[in-house]
Amino acid sequence: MLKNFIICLTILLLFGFARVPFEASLTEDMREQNILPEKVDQLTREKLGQTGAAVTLGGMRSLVASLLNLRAFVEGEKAEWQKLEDTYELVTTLQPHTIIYWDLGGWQLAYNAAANVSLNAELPEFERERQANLYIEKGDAFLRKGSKLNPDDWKLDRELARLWSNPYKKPDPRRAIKHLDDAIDSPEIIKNDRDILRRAKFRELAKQPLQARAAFDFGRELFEESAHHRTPALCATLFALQNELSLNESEQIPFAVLFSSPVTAWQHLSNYFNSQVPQKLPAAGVVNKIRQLENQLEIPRNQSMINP
Amino acid sequence: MFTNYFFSSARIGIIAKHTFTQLSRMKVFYFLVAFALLIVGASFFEMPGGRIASDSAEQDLRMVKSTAMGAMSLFSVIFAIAATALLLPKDVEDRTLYTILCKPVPRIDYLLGKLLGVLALIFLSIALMDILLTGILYFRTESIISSELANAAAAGFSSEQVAYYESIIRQQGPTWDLQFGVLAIFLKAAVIASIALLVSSFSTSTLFTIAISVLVYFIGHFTADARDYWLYMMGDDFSMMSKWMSQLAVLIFPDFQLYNIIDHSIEGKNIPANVIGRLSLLTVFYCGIYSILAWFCFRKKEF
Amino acid sequence: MAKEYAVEIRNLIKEFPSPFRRKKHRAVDQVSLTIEPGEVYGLIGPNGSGKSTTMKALLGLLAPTEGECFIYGRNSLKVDSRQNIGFLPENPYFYKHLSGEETLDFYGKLCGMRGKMLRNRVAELLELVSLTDAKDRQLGGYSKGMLQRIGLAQAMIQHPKLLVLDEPTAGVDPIGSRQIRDLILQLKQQGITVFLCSHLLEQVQDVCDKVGIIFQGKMIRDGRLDELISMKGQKELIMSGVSDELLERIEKMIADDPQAKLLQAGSPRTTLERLFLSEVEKATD
Repeated sequence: MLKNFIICLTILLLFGFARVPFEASLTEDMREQNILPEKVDQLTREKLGQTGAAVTLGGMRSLVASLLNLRAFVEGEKAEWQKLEDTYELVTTLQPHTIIYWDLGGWQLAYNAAANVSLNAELPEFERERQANLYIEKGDAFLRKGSKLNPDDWKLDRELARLWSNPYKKPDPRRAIKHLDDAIDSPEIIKNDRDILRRAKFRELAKQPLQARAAFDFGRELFEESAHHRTPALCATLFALQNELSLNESEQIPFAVLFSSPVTAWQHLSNYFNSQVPQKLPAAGVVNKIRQLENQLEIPRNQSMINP
Repeated sequence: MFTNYFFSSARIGIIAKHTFTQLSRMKVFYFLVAFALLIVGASFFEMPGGRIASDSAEQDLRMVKSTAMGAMSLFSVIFAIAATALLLPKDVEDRTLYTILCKPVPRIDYLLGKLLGVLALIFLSIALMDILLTGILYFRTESIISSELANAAAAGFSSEQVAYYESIIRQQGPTWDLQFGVLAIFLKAAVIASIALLVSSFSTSTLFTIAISVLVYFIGHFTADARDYWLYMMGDDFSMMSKWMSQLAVLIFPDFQLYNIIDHSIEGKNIPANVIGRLSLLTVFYCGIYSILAWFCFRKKEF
Repeated sequence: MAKEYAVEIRNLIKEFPSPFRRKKHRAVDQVSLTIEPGEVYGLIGPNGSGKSTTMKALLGLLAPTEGECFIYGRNSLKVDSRQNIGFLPENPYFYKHLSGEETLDFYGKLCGMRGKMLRNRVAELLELVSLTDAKDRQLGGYSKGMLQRIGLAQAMIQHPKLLVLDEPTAGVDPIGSRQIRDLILQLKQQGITVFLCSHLLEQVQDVCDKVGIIFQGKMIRDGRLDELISMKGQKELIMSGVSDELLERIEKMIADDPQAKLLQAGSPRTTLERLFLSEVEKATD
């Protein structure tokens, strides 16, 4: 009996020695390719409680994360923002490479939570603003953490760019541009989306007076690159930048090239003035040109689209 | 008549088929009905509004997949342990073991036949569940895509963009990588079943076998951690005793963490064939060694 | 050339470690026996005397501590020795979820039989043990007697030369019991060797050629049944159609002989078993 036991143990040990290097290298490869989940740390295990912990051992993290995500939605509905934040911490610890959870968490915090607390009538004005800013920063931190853990992903960078270019929050073009650059440089982004983001970068550059030259050069590059880039907004912005920089004719893009016809020019410039200029885009010479076109096209003042 | 008295695959096949029938007539398939209901229910589940339709679509699909894979994982482990644990004691108790061993049946054939019978049943059950999952995923994904395409057409997206978004949604639907995840579930169950067989070859009670197998399953999830300590972090913070203990644990207990590729396959991300190949090879070795050890303990057992 | 016995057990000793006492428990102590081909051998003894242990050692279910067992010259510990054996264990259950036919099919395949040969053999055996009508019923629904009979069929599936039966009629009703014993006699006619053990002594007497009495692990008496139980020096006459006058003359002849002595005269009795069976048969008609 004892002899049997010793022989069995010996065989197991020998087999163990043989497989340890094989398993170690396989584990290494799998971790490199992010196939294996990272270890769940003690703190997370405690937060999950006993059943949750047992489940994560059994390889059901995905299920637990899905259910927690659901719980977070309910917490959001009930405006329990602290709980929501904790829940998303858990969810992203369990599934750090699932982009959508980072995305949702960031959105809930920076948009929903911030908006909600800013409307809280129970708090004094300054406190509302402080808390709203706090949640925006929390959302930002959350998204940045997700982006760092998933360096190949660009969608979180795009979300961060959106957050900092959003005119209704706390627009910060420099931060937005940094994130746009990260997204644009990502290896996984497709051409179409990249082009959209490049145009967004152009807009952000244009918002900064000190970057006018850089903005113009970049915008021109886009303009000449492809017809897809020649959106009304882009053309109008280039027009304004040209005026702001007081470029001489050889450097400018001719007006007739920017806008296909006077009517088109009038419409696009009027729209630009109404919607983009309030967002801090350049306005140099825009009003004058609009008036000039109105005269040229004999559009009566009461039919003008702008009201400066 | 057989001329090979040591090992015969035909004989193993007979015992395997017989074990399969025996277990399947134990009404175990009723569990599959419960599974089917669970996953069909999960598929009707819809996440409360995300910001955009494709967000909630992804979350819905994720919910279906994670529920199904979780249930498959749980079922296969429970069944692997419980079914294997009762096979030998049942034969001894019913004295049917004598009638088999008194035929020219080598004990290794008997053990392998039992193990393969259990594995065949687990495989079939998982396959059925997988078919159901794939079917539901397929229909759900297609319906999401067609509504997305309608939206995209209305919004004037380019065909390249549409194709791109379609491919993202498809990635969350039924993919080959998801199947690899299901395969990993089966491989894990195979290892646990062989362990249960080994324990039952020297144990006398079903309950004892189940308890030990569950314990080994549990410990096996920490083997990888112990191995990390051994290979990379053998600082002086640890006492000699704990170093020895962790080394011993690594050598003796299997590493079940390697099979936890479910989460990754649910992501829809790629699982290279190389990884699956190595995992399968490792599983074959595990089952082989545990079966040999089981035979070793069983061969001189007296009844 | 040495005579080949069907079964040869030489000085078999089997000890089991006792969990509480240091001294081991000797279940079988220096047991030797031989069975010639075509004989029916009965091993009898009280419960716990070592009958089953001896049988299991012969079948390779346990290894002897000392001594050897041979079946048609092959060592019992080798798997190939079992090609020639059919075993019916005590109170077997078999696999309840299989039908009679499926059970025989399973065991036949284990022995390497296939296809038409197997099908024919299964049908033949079902007929032999009178279970053709019940062949599609699951074993869970069989009576005790039916289970014993299917067990016997299973034991014979591969045309073994030796049948080993452990308490073949224990717990079986008189009709079933009679059927089993008739079967054994039929098999003997076909030249099959039978090794059975039982504690139903009347029934052993009915079928066996040779017996061995085992008690507390030791073989205390063995030999041919006729020789063992015939009452030496006494003779029995059973007559019919005898008139009183003839009876008187016979009694006188015995009285005239100096050595013979009339011990008993009267009507012989049938056995309770025969009475029972004939009554049942009449009732069935």
